[in-house]
Parts: sequence; structure tokens; C-alpha cells
Amino acid sequence: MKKLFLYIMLLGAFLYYGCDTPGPTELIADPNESDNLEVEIIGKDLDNEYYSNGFDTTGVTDVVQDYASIISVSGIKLTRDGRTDNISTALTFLFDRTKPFRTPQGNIIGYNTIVPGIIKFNDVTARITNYRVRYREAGVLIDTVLGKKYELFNINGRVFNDPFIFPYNSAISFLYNPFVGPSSGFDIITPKEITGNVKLVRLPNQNKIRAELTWQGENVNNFSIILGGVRNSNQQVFPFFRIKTNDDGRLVIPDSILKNIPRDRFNKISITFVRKYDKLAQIQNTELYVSSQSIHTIIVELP
Amino acid sequence: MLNVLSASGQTSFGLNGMYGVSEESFTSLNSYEYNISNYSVIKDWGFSFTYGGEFASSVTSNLYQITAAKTFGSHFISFRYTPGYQKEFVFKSGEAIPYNNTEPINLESRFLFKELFGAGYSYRINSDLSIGFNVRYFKQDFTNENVSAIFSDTIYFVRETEEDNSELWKTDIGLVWKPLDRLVINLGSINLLTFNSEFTNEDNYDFEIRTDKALFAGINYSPSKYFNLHLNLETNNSFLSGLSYLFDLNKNKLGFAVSAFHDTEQDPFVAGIIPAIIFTSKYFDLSLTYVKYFSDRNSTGSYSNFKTDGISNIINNKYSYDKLLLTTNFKLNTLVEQRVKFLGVEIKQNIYPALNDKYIDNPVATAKVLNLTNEKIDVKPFMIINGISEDKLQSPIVSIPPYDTSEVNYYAVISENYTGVNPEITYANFYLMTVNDDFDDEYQKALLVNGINAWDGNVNNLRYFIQRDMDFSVKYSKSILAKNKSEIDTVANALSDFYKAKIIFNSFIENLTYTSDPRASSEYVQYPNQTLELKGGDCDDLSVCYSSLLESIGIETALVDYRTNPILRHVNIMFNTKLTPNQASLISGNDTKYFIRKNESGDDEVWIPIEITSLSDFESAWTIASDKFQTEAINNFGLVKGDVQIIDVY
Repeated sequence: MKKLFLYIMLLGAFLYYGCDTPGPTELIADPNESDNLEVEIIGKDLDNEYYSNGFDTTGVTDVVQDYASIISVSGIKLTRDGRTDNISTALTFLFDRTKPFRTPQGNIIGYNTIVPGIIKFNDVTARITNYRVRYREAGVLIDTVLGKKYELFNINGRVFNDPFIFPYNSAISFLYNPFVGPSSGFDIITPKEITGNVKLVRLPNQNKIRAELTWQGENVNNFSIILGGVRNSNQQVFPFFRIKTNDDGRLVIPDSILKNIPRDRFNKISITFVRKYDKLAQIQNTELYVSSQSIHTIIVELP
Repeated sequence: MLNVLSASGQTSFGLNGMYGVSEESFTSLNSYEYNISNYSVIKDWGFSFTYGGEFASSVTSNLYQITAAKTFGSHFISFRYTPGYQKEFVFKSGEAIPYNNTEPINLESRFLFKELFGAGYSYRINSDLSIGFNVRYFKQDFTNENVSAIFSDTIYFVRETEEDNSELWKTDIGLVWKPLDRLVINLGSINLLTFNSEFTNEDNYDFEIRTDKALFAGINYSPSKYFNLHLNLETNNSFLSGLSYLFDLNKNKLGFAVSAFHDTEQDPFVAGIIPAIIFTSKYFDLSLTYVKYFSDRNSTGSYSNFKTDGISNIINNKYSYDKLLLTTNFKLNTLVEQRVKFLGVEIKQNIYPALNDKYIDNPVATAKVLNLTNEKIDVKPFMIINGISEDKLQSPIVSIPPYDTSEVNYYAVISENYTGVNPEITYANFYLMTVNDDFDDEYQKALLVNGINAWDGNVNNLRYFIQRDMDFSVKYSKSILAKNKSEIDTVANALSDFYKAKIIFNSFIENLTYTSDPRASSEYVQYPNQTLELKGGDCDDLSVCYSSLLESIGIETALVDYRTNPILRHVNIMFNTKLTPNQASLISGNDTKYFIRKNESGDDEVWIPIEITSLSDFESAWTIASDKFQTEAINNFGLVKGDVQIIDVY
């Protein structure tokens, strides 16, 4: 009996110590694997305000302080309530880097701008308008004007807007004619038009939803999708996340990203497809960040 | 209807070295993958263990399987626990979430496939055909990490782990058929019936183990006793083929096997080989097997390919690593291993209890017996005749060459104490015994046991009636002689036997009458005491009685069988006067009344015939018998032609 007990103990020890977990196989995502998500939180503070300045429809104001000046041209489609508006914008911000504008907390949210000459996009002279930013101070929203900007804007080809229509998959000529000195310019290449599709799917037998996004993939390197919410209070888009993914035509936003969106504050979500060409250009020893974007924003109600 | 698709990879892949199902294929005990019908040659209990190592980026070891199996007559069941049948995939999703300048969060998904246990049953319809099925249980444990967005005053992410699993049961059926001694065909289904619980997260459906249906066919051919060729085909275009050879090593066998396999899901065309070294003995087997894949098996794979193709086999897929496996099988036989068996038993003769020692030389039955082993076997035959013998009656030992058949005779001794009067149908149990404590085989057959007075009609066998109950005859004869002592004392010594016979005849015949057999049968013979008690009998009875009385006082007798008329045969007796031919004139001047026979020493002696049925005095019985003998035996050449036979009682 003692021997039997010993044998059983030895066998048990052998089975316990002699067995490893088999070596797993590590799966590697393909370079073009669409399910690779890089999600960046944009609007960390839900009470932040983003001034809708016509830059685009993403609700995102680019971090302008990173650049000396900005030229941005956008072909934008905005789909909501079963209707799509086609918007063309062209903007130029020429910053005076010596005059930053800070929030009471000391954060730079912009610079004062200058207007040193005339700017044309495709031979259309850009208007000079106020450059506003909005911030919150002691709980009070404050609008302020930091200077001027160059702007062209057209919606649905209306004649009373600027006569500027964003040419997709083409080029826009940019011309800068300073009040002092010679003119200079260059062409801005434009990306292909993007048309996205959003399908909110409720998973069967589960209290889950996910967003299935599709578009015509062009494999442009700079491609992102911005997920935002539409405030109940003012129907403005508040950006939540920037999802960097491949321009391959398909993306699923999982339930884990969508499920906790507070419905009492956001009754709709906005999904913006952004296909962008960007580059740095030089004009009169000034570095310009040049952005050319094809944008489609779709606003859908949360089920 | 089986919907045969060709999408899945090879599923009939076993980990052990010998892949055919044959008598020597001991590894079929634990391999439901290719032994779908659960076929086995295990006689009683079987246990199997496989322990091995897998050569991934590091070597890992595991207990691959433990199997217990048991044979119940034609039924065979087995149960398999397979802790080492598992495969895990890890996917680091690359989902990077910058968050407050911290490092990106790398999320991980794990896909763990396990086959935990299985059970098999088979039924051996006959020695050539066996059918069966197996049931296998799988578990698929998937773990997905994801981030969940939390919206409070700020937005932030929390890492969540979602566990999802699915249970899968698979059932397949198969058969093993031996159309020829050296050819085994093995057919089966692949994924015939599958039952699974669904994953909660439908995204996991893409990664489920594939269960496409297919058919399996295996062919095993042995050109010689220990050389086996095998080919396993699947309708999904995968196959496995190879050979094995065993050498005799004392009473054991040592050999090798090698198989090569083609899997539609793996590259190159011959995806790998499985060489094995095998040792097999009476009580245990060992095999050392190496599974070698020809393609480079690094520890990474394509996520998208995995998602698209999945796996259909946990232990053999395009992500499997090389393995080295040691398998041990134990064959515990608590049952008597049958070494010989009856092919049939023929009853040679029915039993006449009166002829008790006749069956010592003449078999009651003859059996045809097959030696099931590869060695010469000495068989001890035993028999019990119900109602006749309580103890086992052993017959002479018979040696049977390996795998040969031989006739085995069963002899009997009937107890003198048997008193059954009426014939009876009884059963004889025949047994074969070899080296075991118990019988190797048993056979039962009906047998007629006649009554104690039954006679088979063979005059030769009347002597058994004469010899029985000799004590009675001695007493009876001596009492007669005692009454006539004075007369006997006056007779010359040479004439002593003659006169004793005469006195006894005249004395016992006085009270007798001739009667036919009580059952109107010539095959009913009375013993002397019955004849004297009943005061009569037919020729058989009277001859037996008189012969017994003479033999009891030392006078040699012989039965004379007259068989000229086959329907109406007759028996009387003659006895030895011990007179020499020269002394014959002392009893008769007529030389036709006596006959000269040589004794064992070659000396002539005078015998005289007596017809007891005459029921007259001695002289008349002598005369009648002499006339009959002279006419039928001498004049008609009855002795020469065999129509008349003289049968010595002793």
C-alpha cells in the first residue's frame, strides 16, 4: 500500500511538473491589416470648446501652434438627416510667432496672425476674415479674435459664396502676392474624393453595437477617421477619438469604443473620413504647413 | 447525406508512428484520428500514455494522452484524456492608444484550442468486420483584450478582458474490414456530426476550429507477416502513407515505421514525415516517434491567414511544431488467453453403460481443434457426460502445430455403479485445456445414454454383461457345485471342468424358460442375476448367464455368433473342457460334437458348444449346438466366410 501511494505521488508529480503549456504561435498583423486600430483621444475634456471655424467638419482644430503658418484646402461632404452638402474651403493662417495667445492656465491656443499680402487659390482671391478662438475661463466661454485669416468658402456651388470649388484628385494653384516683394506660389495636389458609409449594427443576442465603416480605399498614407459626438445642446460636433488606420476601405469600430458615449449629452455621433495630403512648403523664408484634404462627415443617431 | 467539402486540412493525422490499422498496429488504441471505428486487438485491458516534447522557440513537454480501453467479448470501449492536444495562438493587436503621454497600450488576443477527451466504442461482428464510432470533446477558449472608452469629465480608456468560449462535440463512425488475411480496409467519416455552443462574440466565429465534413479511407497491406504498407486518404485531398517493418527479437519484436503526409493546408506537397522506432512485447509496447515538418516552423504566423483559414486539426496544422513523442502501451490480460478453440465436435457413438471400458479405446467423440497461437501446443481434452460422470474425464494429450488444426478424441470410462435403466438424452461438455488454469474453450453437444441393459447388438460386447457382477455368478455356481460335491469328487480330474459345466447347466436350466426381450428388442440383455431372478430370457440372456456361471469357476467360455441370417441372428456358447484331443473320446466318440482350439501356449484343447435355449438337459443342448456348429460353421464354411464367429469372453 505504501508503494502504491508512492507510485501515485510520483505519477502526480510527474504530471504536474513534467507538463508545460505548449508554445503558442504568435500571429502577426499584415501591414495592410484593417483591423489594426490606433486610437488617439482628442477631446480629453468633455467641457472643452472647439470653435467651429470652418477649418473642416471634424470639429477638430489642428494644433496650429506647431506650425509657422498654415495653408489648408478641403473638399468636404457633410451628410446628416439624409442630405449631403458639398463644401469647399481654402484657408491660410499666417502667424506672428512672436505673439502667442495663452489661456489663463498658460496654454498656447494660438498666435496672432498677420495679413502681409494677397492670397489666391486657383486665381480666386481669398477673403480676409477674423480669426477667432474660443476658450473657457472661470466657467465662462470667451470668444476672442486673434487676427485675420485668408478664407474661401463655398457650399453646394452657391453663387453667392466664393467662386471656389475644391477639385478632387487634381491640383489647386496657390499664389501669394505680398504687398512688398515678388509673388510666389505653388500647386497643391488634392486627394481623391472620399465617400464613406456608416452602418451601425446591433449584435444579435447582445446588447452591443458596432459601427461598420466602408469607403473606397485608396491606400493613401495619411488617412484617419475621427469619431465624435454631436452635442444635444448646440448640435456641434465634439471630437472624441482619432483613429489612424489604413486607407483600405473597411473599419469596424467596436462596441467597447461606442458603448459608453453618454446619450444624455450626445444623441448622435459623427464619423469623419479624412484623406489628406500634406507637406511643408517655403514662401519667402517662411515655412508653411500645407494640408489638402478630402473629408466626408456622416452624422448618425445612436440607436 | 454526407456533404463532402474539400476545405479543411488533414484531420486523420495521429501522433504515433504506425498509422495503419492492423493486428500489429498497437497505437491504434489511442488514435481516434485515423482509427475512427475504435478498432482494437486488445484482448482485455489496455492502457496507453504518450509523453513528448514540442520544438517551438523553446522546447516544451507535455503529456499528450492517457487512454484506457477494455474489451468485453465482441465489444470494445476506450476512453482518452488528451491534455497535450492543444494549440494556442497569440495576437498582439498593435492597437496603440496614446494616453497622457504614457506608452501605447498593446492589446492581446489569445485563441486556445483544446481537445480534452474522447470515447470510442466498437463491435466486432466477426473476425473480418468491426464497426464503431468515437465521440470527441473540444474546448475553444478565446481571450480578447480591448479598450473601453469611459466618458466622464474626461475621456479615458480602460483595458478590458473579454473571455469567450465554445464547446465542441464531434462524432464519427467507421468500420474495419479484412477481406483478406493480409489486407485491411478502414473507412470512416470526418466530422459527421458536430455539436457546438456558440461564441458570445460573433467576431470569434471567424476563428472557430473548422469542421468541414469529409470521408476517410485507409488501406493496409502486409506483403509478409511483419511488413506493413499503409495509405490513408481523405476526400479533402490529404493523405498519409508509409510502411513499417518488425523484426523478431527473442519473443518480442523490434521495428521501425515511417510515414509521409500531404496536407492540403500545408506546404510543401509532402508536408512532413514521421519516423518511429517500435518495440512490442506481450505485455507492453514502446514507440519513439518524431514528427518532422519540412517547412520552416517559426513561432509566428499571419493573423489574416489564420482568420481566413483557421485550423481544422489541433495537433497537425500549418502552425504545428516538430515533436518527439514516447508512447507506452500496457496490455493487461486478466482473462484467460484463448490458445486453442473448437471448430466442431462429432459424436462418434452413443453410450451403452454396460460396455463400460469399451470407451477407453473407442472415442465417444472427436473434436476438430484449432491452435490459435504461433507455437506448438499440447492440448488436454476433458469431458463431462451429465448423469454419467461427475468428474472430468481426461483423454490423452494431443499436440497441435502452430495455427494448425487437429482431431482430438474424447474417451470415457463408465462407472460400474451406473444404474440407469431407461435411455436418456443428456449433454456432454467438452473442454480444451492448455497452459492456463481455466479452459481455453468449451463445447456442448447432446448425447444418447442408453439403459444399463442396452446392448449395441455386437456379440463382441456381450462379454461386458458376462463380466459384470461376477460375484453373484461365483456364489451361484459354487452353491450348485457344493450340492453336487460327491458326484464331482468321483470324476476323473481331466473331466472335472466338463462335469462341472454339465452339473451347473442341468441345475440352472431346470427353472428357466425362454422368453424374448421384454421390450421386443434384441438389444436388451439381462445380467446373469436378472436372468436367474426372472427365470428366463432369450438366447443372449441365457448364453450370457451360463457363460458367466462357467467363467466364475474358471471354465473358459466363448460366444458363438451365428450371423448367416442377418435378421435373425443367434448366439450360443462353447466352453473349454481342457481335455486334449486324445482325451476327447472320454466325453464323446463322435468327433463332430467337439472342436479343437489352440490355447495361448499353442496346445490343442477340446471345446464343446452348448445351446442353452434348448432348455433341455446338457446332452441335448450339446447335441443341438454341435449339429448347428457342424452345419453352419464347418460344413457351410461359416467360420471361413465369417458367418459364424467365435468370441472369447476373456
